[in-house]
Amino acid sequence: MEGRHPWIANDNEKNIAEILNAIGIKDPLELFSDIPKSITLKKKLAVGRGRPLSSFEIEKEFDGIINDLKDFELNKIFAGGPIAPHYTHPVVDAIISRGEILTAYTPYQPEISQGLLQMLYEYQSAMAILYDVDIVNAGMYDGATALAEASLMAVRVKKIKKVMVPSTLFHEYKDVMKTYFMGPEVSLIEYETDNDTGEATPENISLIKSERPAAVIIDYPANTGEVRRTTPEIIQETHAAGSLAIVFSDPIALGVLTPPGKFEADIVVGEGQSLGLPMYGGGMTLGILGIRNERELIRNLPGRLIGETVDVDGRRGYMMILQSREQHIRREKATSNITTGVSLNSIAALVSLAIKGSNGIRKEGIAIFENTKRLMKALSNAGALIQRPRAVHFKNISFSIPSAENSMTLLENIVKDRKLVPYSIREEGLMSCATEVHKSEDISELENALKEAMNG
Amino acid sequence: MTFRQARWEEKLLFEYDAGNNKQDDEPAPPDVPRELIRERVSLPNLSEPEVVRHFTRLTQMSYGIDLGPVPLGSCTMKYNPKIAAKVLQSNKIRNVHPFLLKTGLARGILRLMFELQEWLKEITGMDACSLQPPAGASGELSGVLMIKAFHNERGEKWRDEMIVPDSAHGSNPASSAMGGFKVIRVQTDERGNVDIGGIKAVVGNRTAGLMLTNPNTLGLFEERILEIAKSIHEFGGVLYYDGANLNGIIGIARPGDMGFDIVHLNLHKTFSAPHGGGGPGAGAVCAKGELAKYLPGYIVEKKNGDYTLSRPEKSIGHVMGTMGNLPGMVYAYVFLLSYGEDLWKVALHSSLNINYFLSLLKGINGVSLPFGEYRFRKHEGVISVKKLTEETGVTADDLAKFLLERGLHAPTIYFPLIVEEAMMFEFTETEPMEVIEEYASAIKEAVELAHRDPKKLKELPKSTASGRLDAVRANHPQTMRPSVKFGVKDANERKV
Ligand SMILES: Cc1ncc(COP(=O)(O)O)c(C=O)c1O
Repeated sequence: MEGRHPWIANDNEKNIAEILNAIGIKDPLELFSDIPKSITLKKKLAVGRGRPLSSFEIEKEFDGIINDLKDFELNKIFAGGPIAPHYTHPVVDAIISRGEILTAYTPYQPEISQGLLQMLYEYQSAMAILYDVDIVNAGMYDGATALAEASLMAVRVKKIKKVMVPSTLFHEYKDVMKTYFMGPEVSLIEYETDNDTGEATPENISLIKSERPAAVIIDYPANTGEVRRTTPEIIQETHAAGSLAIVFSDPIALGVLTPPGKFEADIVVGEGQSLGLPMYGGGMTLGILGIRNERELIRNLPGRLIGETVDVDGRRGYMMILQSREQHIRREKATSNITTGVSLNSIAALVSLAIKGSNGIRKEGIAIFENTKRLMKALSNAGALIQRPRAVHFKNISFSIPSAENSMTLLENIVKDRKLVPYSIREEGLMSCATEVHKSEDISELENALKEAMNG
Repeated sequence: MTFRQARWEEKLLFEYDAGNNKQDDEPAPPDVPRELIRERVSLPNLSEPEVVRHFTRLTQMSYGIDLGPVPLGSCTMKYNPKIAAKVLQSNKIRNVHPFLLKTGLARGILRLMFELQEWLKEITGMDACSLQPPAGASGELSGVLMIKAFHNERGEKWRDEMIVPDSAHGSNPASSAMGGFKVIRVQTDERGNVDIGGIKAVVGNRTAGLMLTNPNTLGLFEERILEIAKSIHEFGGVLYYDGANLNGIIGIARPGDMGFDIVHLNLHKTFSAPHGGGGPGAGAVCAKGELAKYLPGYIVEKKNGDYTLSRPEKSIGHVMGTMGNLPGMVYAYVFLLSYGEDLWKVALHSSLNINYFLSLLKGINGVSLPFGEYRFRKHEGVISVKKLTEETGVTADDLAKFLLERGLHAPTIYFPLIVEEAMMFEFTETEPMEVIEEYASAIKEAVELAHRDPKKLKELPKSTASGRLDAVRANHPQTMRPSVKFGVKDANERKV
């Protein structure tokens, strides 16, 4: 053996010899003698830097990587989309860095995992309150997969292989839905909304009625930002068509907006990153998935669910429930293949929500509404052509710019001059967002940056 | 070891009322339609220290690898390096907006992803990797759909059968079903290999593929893997590798050389990303030859020293709304830098550890090692306590609770399904000999106690944050309570 590896306690001659002795072999490679010779590796793998690196050397490697990243302040990022700049409270970091939960497994042994289980139960409860539904599971991978799974749930319940989505839905979400629809061969139909107001039109209502899909997905607020007055009406018409209403809501809007459960949504979905998780390039996500209390919906719910119960001494306790829906019991008849979920991210969202409280989440919602209004004005002032301009927007705004220059070059110039990311370039068009992290000065700076860049 | 877990009588967050539970009456923004304005949100308004205390207490009633061993078989609970946690505190990494990955503005991340892809290709023997899948099961679904698209493209849409061994993890058949396949089950032979006769009996023109993990969930290497691969390929089927068990052979043998066409990896198992109490996970899905064209998501490419994203030519699409779990990738990157060419030590020590443990269990009454008893295990081993159960009424579950009582997290129990009263141990490379010895002597003690006073065992655990829980009450429709809100207001009567 060469140098011992710092993470392997037994990586020393003495321990290896003792173990070999106990198991009755001389050469450790005998453990692998049942692997055909023709496929045993004859050389060491070329990974990492070849030589094992020390902690210090690894940190140095990361210095290089981090050097290769631009230093953007959160409040100078206006790029819109499913993941957006939101403030992560230090308490969130402090709690989710604790090894007792960071390095825990799924709580299959409830007696030793009560704290983790209670946190997940509180997450489920907090989301149930926020969305005003009865049940929210412990979390899906992200908003996109949660929407896809919600749709498949509706397809199973209704036994109809058709789901309708608004054209305003993030393209990432449609993409993932299409992938999940390949297996059961479900078709995805888009419906439009009014170009000017963003509202439902009689045409799209009658389309829902004639298509009679398993479910209609309603984005509230729209992924492109519009807050539709007609939302309750679309839900009603969906029910009238015999379809399930799946309402996608950004949870950070629900401190201000009437929750989808109030409008009788059957299934609610959301992306929890907005509750205050770092963006990490889209690497820290949380799919929120909830249902109203209905037997068929419960039976078909994917993912983990924690429930309250009592222990032998009659003390309150928590454990995973209704596991017979899940893959490890039901195998090919399971409601989903999901195994490892996103527990830690659910907990991060819960802690963040606990810090905000009902006052905080309302204030943030209001701040986002106000900032979005400022953003709309700033974009118009800079000459952007806003999509569905007469709608009240929340967080995201889609637009185009009548500039000779290409939008990527424009963006790069602004980044270079101001360390500010003005928008993202998306299939829906350009998209900017305003959140609680932006100040009015930041939005004015965005306006100036756009004006400057577009005029030369 | 004496052990006592914290037992805070910690209220639910919603039960706090420190006098600050009042709702401010913040006026809603004027242009939002009145009918869409929410009246109130029933969440508590706690002070920051109250929040910190609440959650810190709850973490004290939780248990992770930083506290002690978690030898859950199939889950590969190994040390999660702190360097990665430190790196992930960098605001430059935290503030990367996903859109920036599509531009040249987050070059460092693309370089990390590119190098990780290259290393995973080397480790698996595949031609390309996508880092998009957010967990192992998502990698499986990707693979299953790649197989589907591949056959469809060749005009062989009739291939609707996926062969899955009875020892497979539940997510394998579940993913196959989500991909629209019929699951054909094959059995395990007494050496603990998948029954090759069984495979040959069911493989045919309708075979889309075979999903296999190797070493399998018994911890045994599929000795006749080359023959299996041949028989599936002969009929035009695709071989899928469930990489959850790669830890047992990493650096020693590669799925690509065994004949596998698609591989998923669990970065949160083999590659040291933390499990987070049930996620987030991080996956990767890799493929060989023609199948690489079907990979999901984006692949990072390096051209003239620059990194760009590309979509595989015939990609099945996206399996997540973003490019994957970046923190998980950072852990994997740290892990591979740390081991480098010594990566094989991971397989070596995880195999040494489980075989050491099994050697210590020899001769314990009522405990057996079903399937290929005489064979060495790779990363994990599954014992059966069926005989003990028959003799004393003490089950695998009871033994698990005895271990908890000692502050030793229980192994996986009742999986794989082919072993009755199964206890599946996996110590990984990072557990020291002492820990393994503690487990062995705890099992010995528990078995003695089972013969002497089985009732005592049924009363455990007592030193954990709670005693045994009432599963019937938790699950019964009349008493079930999945949220504080459940059943509070009149449940909506409308049926679906
Ligand atoms: C053998 C095996 N396959 C697949 C999976 C699924 O992986 P994940 O939990 O990352 O989705 C697991 C683990 O849970 C496993 O043990």
